[in-house]
Amino acid sequence: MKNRLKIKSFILKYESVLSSFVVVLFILILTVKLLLPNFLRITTIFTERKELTTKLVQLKKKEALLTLQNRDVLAEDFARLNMIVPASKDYVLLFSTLDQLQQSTGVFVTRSDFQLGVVSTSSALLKKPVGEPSFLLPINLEVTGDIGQIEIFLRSLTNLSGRMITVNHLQLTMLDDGSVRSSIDGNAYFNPLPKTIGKIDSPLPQIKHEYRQIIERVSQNMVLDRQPPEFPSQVPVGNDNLFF
Amino acid sequence: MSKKTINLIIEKDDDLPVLKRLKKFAPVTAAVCLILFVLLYSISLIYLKLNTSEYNKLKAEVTSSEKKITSYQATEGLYLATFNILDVINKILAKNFSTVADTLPEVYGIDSDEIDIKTLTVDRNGQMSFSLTAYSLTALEVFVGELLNKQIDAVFSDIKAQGILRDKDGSYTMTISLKYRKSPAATS
Repeated sequence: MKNRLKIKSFILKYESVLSSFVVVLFILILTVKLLLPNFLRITTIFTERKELTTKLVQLKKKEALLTLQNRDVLAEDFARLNMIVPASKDYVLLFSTLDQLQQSTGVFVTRSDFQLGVVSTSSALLKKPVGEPSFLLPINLEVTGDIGQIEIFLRSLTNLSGRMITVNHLQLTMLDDGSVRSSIDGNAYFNPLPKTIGKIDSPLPQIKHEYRQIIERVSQNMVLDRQPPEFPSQVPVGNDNLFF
Repeated sequence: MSKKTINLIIEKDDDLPVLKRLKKFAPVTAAVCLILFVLLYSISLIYLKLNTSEYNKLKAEVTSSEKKITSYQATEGLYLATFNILDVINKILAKNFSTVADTLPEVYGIDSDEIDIKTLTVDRNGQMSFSLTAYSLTALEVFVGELLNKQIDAVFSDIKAQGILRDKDGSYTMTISLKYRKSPAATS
């Protein structure tokens, strides 16, 4: 009885302080449960909205650029360009380019020396030479013809009609029969393709006017003899019975 | 019989000054907290109401655009590979304009029947050297004159002639070194 009276008198005495404390505590609980989540969401919206807007602009640009691309045309352009600077050393392509140039210019390639090094491009440890845009394949050629033919041959090496070969050093010697023997030191190039295409919102580089000109030159000068395979939508099947 | 008195009024003890102050400020603090909470919560609700739908719409647009781009993944790979090769070709062409091929017509163009160029070397920087045989002095003079004209036209520079020999048959043999100058823009 005495204890009750004591508690009652304590409550009466601290009534205002206690009720205030209860109210503050309640507000604290509401703040944690309601206000803070709201504020967190507001912060998220505020910070992400800017990022999302920028990302959307990038994506729309990329989408528009990709929609404009014709996949078949791209595939054909890529196939052509890949014959100028292939992804591997591709010595077969080098020989076929020289054979083609022999036929078109009338010169005779009497010796061709490629420093192939490690034949496998993918497994070999590749290191791009400093200051060079691509991997180099040093070559040495000996070509015989008249001076006009040799000049056309030299120009054809970089006219984007086949594997690109640049000339570092040329030595011409006039032979007794009036023809000219030339010794050419130069480089062919190869460029391993990128293995990944980057993040979905990474911007695509724009193919510039000068790059379009290269594509046009390649289309004019090079004929693709390797057509991409066509797959029929329906493959006809044979008779069930082989004897009828 | 003596009278007994009982004091029914509870004796009021004086509060401590801290308690007095607490009693005074606690309700005010509680009221201020309540008002602040109501205010901030209302503002947050209004902001969310106004912006959530716009934010969700933006997010949905990004997702749909990403989906569309994913469907173009093969084209994107092809496009990037094509760009990569184009970039390499462009850099190679910019670095290796056809100096070597361009020098030949400049020298062989002034070749006459009475002049034979026996050997010629040229490098990618346009540094050229050739040995020639002239079967008459007049032909040699014409040839050298043409070379000097080309020097005036800024096609050649630094022309040097070495080891001029006159053979028994009246022909002249000499070695000429020069530098071919042509701007990369001039070559196509």
